Amino acid sequence: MAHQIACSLRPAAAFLLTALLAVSVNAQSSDYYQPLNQRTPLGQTAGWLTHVHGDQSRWLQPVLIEVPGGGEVSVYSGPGEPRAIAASPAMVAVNVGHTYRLRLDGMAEFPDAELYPSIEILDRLHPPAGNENRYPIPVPFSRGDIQQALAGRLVTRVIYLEQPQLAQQLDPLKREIPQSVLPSENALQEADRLGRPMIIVRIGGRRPSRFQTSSMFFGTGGAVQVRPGEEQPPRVTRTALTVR
Amino acid sequence: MTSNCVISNFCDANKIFRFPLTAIAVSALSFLSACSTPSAFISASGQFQADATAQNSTAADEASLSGDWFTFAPKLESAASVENEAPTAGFVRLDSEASSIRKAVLTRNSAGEPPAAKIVPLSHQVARNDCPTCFTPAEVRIDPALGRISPADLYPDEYLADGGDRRLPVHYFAGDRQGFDTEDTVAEYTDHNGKSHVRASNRVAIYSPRFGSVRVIEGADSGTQVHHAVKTTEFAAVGSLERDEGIQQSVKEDGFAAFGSRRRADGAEAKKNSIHSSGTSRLQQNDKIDHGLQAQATDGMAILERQQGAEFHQKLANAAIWSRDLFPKLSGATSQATETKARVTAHATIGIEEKRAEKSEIHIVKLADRETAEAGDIIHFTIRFINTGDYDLHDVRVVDNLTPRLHFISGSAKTNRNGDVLTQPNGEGSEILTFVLDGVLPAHESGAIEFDVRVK
Repeated sequence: MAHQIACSLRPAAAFLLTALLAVSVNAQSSDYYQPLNQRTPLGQTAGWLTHVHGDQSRWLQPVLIEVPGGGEVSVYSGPGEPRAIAASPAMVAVNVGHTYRLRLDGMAEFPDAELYPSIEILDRLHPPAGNENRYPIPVPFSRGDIQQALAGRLVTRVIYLEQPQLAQQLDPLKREIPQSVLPSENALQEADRLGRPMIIVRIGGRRPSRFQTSSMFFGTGGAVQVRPGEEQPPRVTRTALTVR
Repeated sequence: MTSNCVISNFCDANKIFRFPLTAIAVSALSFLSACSTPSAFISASGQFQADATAQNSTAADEASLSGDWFTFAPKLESAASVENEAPTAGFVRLDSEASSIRKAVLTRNSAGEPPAAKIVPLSHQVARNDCPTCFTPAEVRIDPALGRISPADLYPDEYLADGGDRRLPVHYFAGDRQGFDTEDTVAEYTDHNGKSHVRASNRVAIYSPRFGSVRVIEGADSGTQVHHAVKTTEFAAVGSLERDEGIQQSVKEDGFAAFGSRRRADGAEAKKNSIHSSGTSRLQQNDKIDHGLQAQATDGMAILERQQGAEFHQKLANAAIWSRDLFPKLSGATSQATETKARVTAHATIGIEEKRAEKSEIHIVKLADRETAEAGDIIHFTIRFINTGDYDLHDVRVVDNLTPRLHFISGSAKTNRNGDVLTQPNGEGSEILTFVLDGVLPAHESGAIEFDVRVK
């Protein structure tokens, strides 16, 4: 009788043990505390990472800003006039550790719309010399994002550098594979788990006011440089070995 | 001075170290004879020897990297051997300042002075003349202790790497190949003694970053909307994430079988067994030193390596200094009740003198035809292999597990030797290419395999 009971409990014990192991494995992957998230005040995440990475003020990171259907992109790094104005897709080089305010207008698909998203530069790339403009960090604004922002919602995108060993089948950014998290979750932590967070993009309906907007609304004073129409360096190709 | 010629004089160390007394006595004789034959790596017969170190040719060009990264296929005027060619991997074009710093460090090292404690900081940039606010992205970092560190080592997530032997070394256990991760490229072969071997190639790094984004929508009515919380674990291929986090993978990596295999196949693991640590810290050891004696006890199988031999010799020298009036002796101790008999007879050995002295093995080198790539670009890979010894090699296979972002272009594989090309999915969105060569690879002959992949 006791033996029969023991035999009947064996599958349950095995299941329970497996479940406990699975929980422990999953817990190990997310058992660290992430103090930063998408709701961290603008500029704080970049400021913290600057302390971690060190001063990188002498490096200008190319960023490619794309608006659906085309439009005009203005880049502010402080109050006053925009530091750069370019047509989409606009490539500008900016400082790591700073925040910038963009103005999107003249969008073909949203002709009367004017948005002021912000970008917070967290990290930089390290391309081979002469190839920095070929590998900008992409900042795409999708139709869905713009529609949500015009409807009064706040859309936050954390753009991360994908880990090659964990690469997806399709390009996760260009193919617009939806990778969304709930507002109660930490998008920055999720992006950190998938790769290396590079830029935080916030798109909302907020517009600057002369009387109410703080000077930090337009950015933290980083450098801006437009890279329009730079001649791309020829791709390095070599003749393959002649195989006998 | 090396005192481990004993091992090299006996082909099968297993027989020797089954009897510790014999081992100690033979070791003592080796010290006295002061022979200098280098120690040989002893492995159990019939088992694979996994060599996880990449096989690299020495890069002659100063602009090349540390030797583990090759991105260019050098132009060859003739069918030069792999050993003779010097892949000039101009992966990072050093500016003049970085080159001068590196030369200064090398000069000091060659003069015997301690290396200059000067590291080119990663944040230090050199302005280009045509763009005062633009700076050279990254230079090769020079570390006094580690030497040259390439950007591909510092920022691996920005590169597509293929080749080498990542993570767990490739090995065979119970007939199954294990540790064959994505990016691994190995050559498998059987030598003239019937032993099977695995050799890893060098790693090739191609700059090709790719980005993704995580989106969150917040608003006054966001709570009423249905947001499908899609985690990347749901999107990524089951093989890719689960391989890294799954229990199965952990079990494989931590399993006793894997380490057990390593302990048999790799002499490095033997360094960590209790023999080496306990042999130097036992009270028995100290007690015997006080008496001017030097003893080293072994509990079983052991491998007398160069380092241990040097330590042993040093201890013997110390004992002789401290007890110079007592004439130190070497003694061996064993806890086993054994009886060793030896009979020395004069006899003649008749046989065939084997004039082929150099053991055969494969050197494998992987090359790519570009250093940067974007999605949709085609990369042409070349894998060259050469039999460096005097014996023919059998059952030669070159196996390449492509990284997930590379897709093999069917029909693009070519080889200059007779053989077959097999492809199979690797479970992580890419393919495993297996090139099986027909027949043998004769001594001092080489071959090459070329194929194209597309970057996703």
